[in-house]
Amino acid sequence: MYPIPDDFDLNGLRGSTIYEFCMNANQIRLKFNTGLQIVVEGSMNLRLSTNGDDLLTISPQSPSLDINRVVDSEVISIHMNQNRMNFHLNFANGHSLELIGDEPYECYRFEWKNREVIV
Amino acid sequence: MARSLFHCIVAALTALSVFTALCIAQEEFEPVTTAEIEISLFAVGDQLLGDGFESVVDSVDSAGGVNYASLILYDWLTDAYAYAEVFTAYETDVSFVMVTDLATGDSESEWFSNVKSEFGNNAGAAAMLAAPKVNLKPLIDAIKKWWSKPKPPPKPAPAPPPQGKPKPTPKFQPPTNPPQRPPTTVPAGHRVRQMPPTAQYPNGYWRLEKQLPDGNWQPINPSMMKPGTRPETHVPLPPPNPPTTPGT
Repeated sequence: MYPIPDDFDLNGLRGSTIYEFCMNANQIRLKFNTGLQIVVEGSMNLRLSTNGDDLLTISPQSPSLDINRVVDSEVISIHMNQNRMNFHLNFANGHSLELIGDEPYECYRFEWKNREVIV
Repeated sequence: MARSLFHCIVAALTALSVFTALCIAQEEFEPVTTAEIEISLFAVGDQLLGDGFESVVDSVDSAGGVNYASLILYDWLTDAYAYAEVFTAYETDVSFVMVTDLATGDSESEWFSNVKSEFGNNAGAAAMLAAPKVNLKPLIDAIKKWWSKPKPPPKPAPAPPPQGKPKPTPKFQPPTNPPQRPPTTVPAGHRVRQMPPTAQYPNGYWRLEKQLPDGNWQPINPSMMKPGTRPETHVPLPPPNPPTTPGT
């Protein structure tokens, strides 16, 4: 819904890992070992490198424990699309996670160092 | 590297098999033209080599593709590939939904739209690859019927979008709460966050959030004071009050 601001530096995510994820009825929280947290209210695409290119669309309304596939794997690269709403995390084990931000609601938010960034 | 090699091998084998199946299809069904077969071959190979479904559809459209989905489906339905085994139960489910959708009368464009909106760019390939696992006969009958239909006249150019506010996306569900101002007093442990106008909320919106024991914030539906979905927790703001005229 909102672009990620230019001054919000996400480069620190490289080399980090998701150590835990939590779900409730309306949110999925991805907790990183750097202290950053991503709270997802919309959907994300989990692309698995095994068996070809499996693509799972995960949201609080259709959750999946497959998120566990990227837990404890290092983030090796990140990139966002041109409108700075969809955000990709590529993991060392070959899987990737795309947070979808171009929906007509708040989709996800970053919480880091007392700063909240809503997308 | 290994994955690329796998894709190349699959694409090569597929192209050969598709060509055979499509040649058979051409003999059986008059309306299928050589151009359509070429387009189908191109599309399947393209998809297996990793192009997104959307880009394949765009390429096929620009090549003047007609009935391309039916050709590919016919191929996969009648030539039960071993490749389907490498795909997952999820993809089989996708396939079942999408192919059934097609067979029960959705148009080609509706089918594409469903695939893209529900399952993302690569689901089209998954749907087609897993198709042999579904009940074939009604689907083949539907496709035969589809092929025998006269081709529709070209569609008129779409009307230019009206100027002004952008059109809300189809994913948008109307808010369940009527436009209203945020509460002036907020219960303890809650906060209100007011946000600027967007295409769907022309006057802006607000959200009520409750702090959880771990410090995180959870969106609340203010009419129920319980956690809610996004349409329930994005509360539209009313239009601003018109300026009052002195003496009225």
